[in-house]
Amino acid sequence: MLNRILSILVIAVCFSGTAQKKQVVLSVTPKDAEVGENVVITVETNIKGEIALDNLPSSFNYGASSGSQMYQRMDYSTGKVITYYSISQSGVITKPGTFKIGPAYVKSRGRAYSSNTVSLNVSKKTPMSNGTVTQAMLNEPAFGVIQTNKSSVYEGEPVVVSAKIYAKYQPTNIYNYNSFVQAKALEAHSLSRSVRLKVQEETFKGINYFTFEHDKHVIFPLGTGNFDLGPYTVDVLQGPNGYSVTSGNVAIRIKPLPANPPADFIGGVGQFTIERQLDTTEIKQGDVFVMQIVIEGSGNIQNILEPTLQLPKGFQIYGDPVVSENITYGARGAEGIVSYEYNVQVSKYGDLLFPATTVSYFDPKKEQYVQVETEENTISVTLDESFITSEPSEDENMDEAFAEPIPELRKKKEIRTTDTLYGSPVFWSGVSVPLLCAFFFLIFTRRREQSADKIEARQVIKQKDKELGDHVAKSKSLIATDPNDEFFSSIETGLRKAFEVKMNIQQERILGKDEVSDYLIKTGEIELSSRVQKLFRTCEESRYAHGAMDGLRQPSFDEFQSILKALKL
Amino acid sequence: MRKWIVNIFMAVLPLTVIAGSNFDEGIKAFEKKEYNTAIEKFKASLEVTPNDVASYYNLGLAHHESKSYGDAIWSFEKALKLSPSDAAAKQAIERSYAAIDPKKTWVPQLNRLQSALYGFSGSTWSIIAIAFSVLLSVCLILFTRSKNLSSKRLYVALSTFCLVSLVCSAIIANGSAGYASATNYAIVTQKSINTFKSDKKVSSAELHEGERLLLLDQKKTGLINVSSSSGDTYYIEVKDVAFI
Repeated sequence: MLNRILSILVIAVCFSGTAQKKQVVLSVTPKDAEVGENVVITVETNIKGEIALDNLPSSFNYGASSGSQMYQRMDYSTGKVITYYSISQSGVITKPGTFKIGPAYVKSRGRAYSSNTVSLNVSKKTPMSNGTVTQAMLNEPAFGVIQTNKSSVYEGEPVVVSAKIYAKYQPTNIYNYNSFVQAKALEAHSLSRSVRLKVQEETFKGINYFTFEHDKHVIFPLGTGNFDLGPYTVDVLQGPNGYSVTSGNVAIRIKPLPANPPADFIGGVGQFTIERQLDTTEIKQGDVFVMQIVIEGSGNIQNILEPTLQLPKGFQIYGDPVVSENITYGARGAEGIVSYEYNVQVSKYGDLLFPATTVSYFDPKKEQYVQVETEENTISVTLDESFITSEPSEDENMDEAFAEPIPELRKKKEIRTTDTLYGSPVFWSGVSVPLLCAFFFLIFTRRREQSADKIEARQVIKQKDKELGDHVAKSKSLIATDPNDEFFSSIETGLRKAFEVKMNIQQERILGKDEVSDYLIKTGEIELSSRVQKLFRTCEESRYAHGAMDGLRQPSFDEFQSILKALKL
Repeated sequence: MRKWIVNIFMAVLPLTVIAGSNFDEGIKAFEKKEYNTAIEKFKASLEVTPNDVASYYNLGLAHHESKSYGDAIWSFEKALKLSPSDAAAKQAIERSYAAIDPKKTWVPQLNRLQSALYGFSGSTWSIIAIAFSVLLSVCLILFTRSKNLSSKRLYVALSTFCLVSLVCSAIIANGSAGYASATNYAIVTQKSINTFKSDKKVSSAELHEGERLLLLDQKKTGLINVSSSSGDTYYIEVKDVAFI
């Protein structure tokens, strides 16, 4: 394992921050690189001492660029100026993988302060595709193409391009190079770190060539539509002799971003995150705190716009933000951070909610706008009696006018009882008692009616019994007198009455002989039935005999009485 | 007897006066935007008169203004529990949910019909049931006493109506009484709370302020088993929630 200790002894400064927090921060940019891409490792500290960085990956090849610097920053929470020292080292990683870098140490006064560790993801080299190669070019001793990593991109999305030379002889040098990025509507950043030609042997379409890449750029084409890049011209030399090469063009399609971007779109195309830091969350009314919004990511971060802040009422920004950038250019375009520092004054007091800050960017991989947001903060602002709030502006009045009104308080108590009648004995009694009362009332009335009917029937029978007695007496008195029909009619009527009483017939109707006969047969008194039928016949016959049947009066009366006796009347 | 009545009156009167003063002081504190004081006063008022809808409602408003949205939702839910058809309390709950997350929507425990019916107490419905029982009895008597066929038909119809109304009133009284007395739900009153697995280990899921949880057991201490609106079940700490 190759460990290398970088050390730098820094110059003492005139200011000593005895109360400041000791910090050692290790960072690497970009965090995602590809094999052979330049990365920069930086150690930043506010401790004066010797800085050492261990644990660099074995596949890290040191680059030519390294340096140290010292600078000062204001600590807004204490109002002190703090001196920072930093060293940086560039280099490339030669194989893909995830590498842990750090921690770095600062040794000061016999103590060692360690930093954080960082992770560096190194992916394989991005494949590049060649521009058009014609048969005529293949016939030349040397020809050039323009390579790109993408042929179709969204507006603002970066493209890596490079010149590649194919020569049938081994080139030693190039001369009179006119780049493909000249005089084009694009923003280009060079990725070439070396002017030395790295010549390799390669077989292309069955022919052996000496090839080398040159003039690698990350470009941000402007506008939309088809974008033609190239050509470049170069003299490819072998010693003093050479061949002049003019490359072909390469076409890149630039797609417009989708319509109707979100209101908080910052123009970013790539992948970004946002963080917000407040230097304090406990202040006095009228005081100012520093809010730092940091946008980090890769894509076209160099061109993003300042986030649009939606501050709640009672917060006011003073002045323009301090914008600082730390951007490097690589295969993923511009990568790094952009931070905005705002001075915010608070004119309200209490526990105030500071809502999240949101920004939107366009993610070309997802092909959609993505919104990211910071966390919310609660700021405790203590009342300052001496603070005089400035007159509300027109906007604030508008806010008041549109603010959601607080619902009205209830001024009178509304006490509800939770004790319920349901299920209690009172409830069940209340439901059942009326029904029971109705039930018993109906039974009572029914019985009463039945007993009244019985009494009435008894009275009717009694009446008929009485009438029967009258008929018997009448018949007896008519035995000796004329005419026959009156006597026998009386016997017949008496006989009918006797059976009405016996059969308990309450209705006023004439009882038929057949009914009488049926009744007696039903009760098993067949002999009595024939006697009754005989007497009925005798009565009928004798009524119209006009004295011929006078001798039958007494026997008929006796028979009548005998039947009554048999009927137990 | 009169002495007893006077003694009870004298005992209850000071409590009523204290409750009234706390309630009024709460209103004054709220109007001065001293929301924490208002919360204390309304809570004190509720200790004396625990079934006061107005105190719960005002307490909810004070909690809302002091950004304690979970507590505000709990207070409004309590007001709704006592007065299920309270439209202002429903609006206030929606307002508190919107303050937590504008995308969040509040689904009431009771549907419109239930809240309209339960707006009357169980006792009211019980009295209505008793009244229908009396009417039914009268109709039955009149039916049996009536000789006229058309009158009989009328009394049959009235008796059927009274019987159906009696049964419905009793069912609603039962539902209303059950709703008022049951403790089935809890509201998350913290910004976000940890949940636990059945083995009491902390799970990765978090519940957020204002979430209404169905109680799956009736314990009121330690860890309790609950179900969220999405149907997932968790164990949570009692201290993180307020029961409705």
